[in-house]
Amino acid sequence: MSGRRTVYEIYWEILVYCKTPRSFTAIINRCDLNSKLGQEYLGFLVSKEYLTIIVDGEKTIYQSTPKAAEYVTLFSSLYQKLFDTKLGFRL
Amino acid sequence: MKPALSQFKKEIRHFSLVASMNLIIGVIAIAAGILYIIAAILGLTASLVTPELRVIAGAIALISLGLGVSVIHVTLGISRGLRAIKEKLVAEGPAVSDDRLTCQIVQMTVYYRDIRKTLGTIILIGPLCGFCVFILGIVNGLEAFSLTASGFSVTLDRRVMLIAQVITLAIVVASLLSSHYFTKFAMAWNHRIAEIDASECALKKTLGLDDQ
Repeated sequence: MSGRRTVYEIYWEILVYCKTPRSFTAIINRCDLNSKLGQEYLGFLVSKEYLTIIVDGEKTIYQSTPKAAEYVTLFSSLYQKLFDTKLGFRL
Repeated sequence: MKPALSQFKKEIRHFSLVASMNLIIGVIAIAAGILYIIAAILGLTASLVTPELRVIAGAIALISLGLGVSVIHVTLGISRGLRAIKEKLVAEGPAVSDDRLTCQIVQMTVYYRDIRKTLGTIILIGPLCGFCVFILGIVNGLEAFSLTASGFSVTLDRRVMLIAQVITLAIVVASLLSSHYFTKFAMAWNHRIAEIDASECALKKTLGLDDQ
């Protein structure tokens, strides 16, 4: 996904994508980030224990922790609620 | 089906319909402009009341052509992004997981942030396009026109009045309607963007960023 995203939308995307273990390259490709930004976001999520680092030989992979579920659920409910209101666009 | 999903699908379908209507208006404006220019080149516009009116009609035809091209260009640009979201939604089928639905909503939000300004342009040039076609129709239908100090009088060809004017009037109404629906869409999404901004506090708190 590319375009004007908020930092919270990027965090959400990373956490959902990392429900299954992913490499750094796969994450930055999928989330359309440069490596500097990717490192910043992943570093933050790891520091907050939303992501865990798994070292498999030479490979380093990232996976969402159960703690991330709280954020992912809150984010989903907030965004889906936007379409619950009757204000929606209709013909 | 989840209420959010059904509302989301409905909105995308309705937006596509309005965008299609706008494309048709653009095509008609281009056709009207080109037809007048061709008629002027072939000398078929000599029946117009005064030479000044021919110049005015020529200018309106050019504006109509330009606006028509702009409407098509801008609408196609908007439709392209929307089509991608629509195709992904169709590919998901009726059983969409929570994460996939949120992903589509986030995509639509990102997409709206990108087209926000362009949508403003469409809302403005759509009705202008319709009005140009309408005025072109009236100018072409003029049989007599007089301007005095006390006012002005206009006589229109009855056959042109009956067919062409009704069609051009319908185009004006359609262009106003499409502009109205685009405005409604923009208002709904501006409200949503404001809600997203407001809900960032909760997300911040969950991420433990509220103390920074």
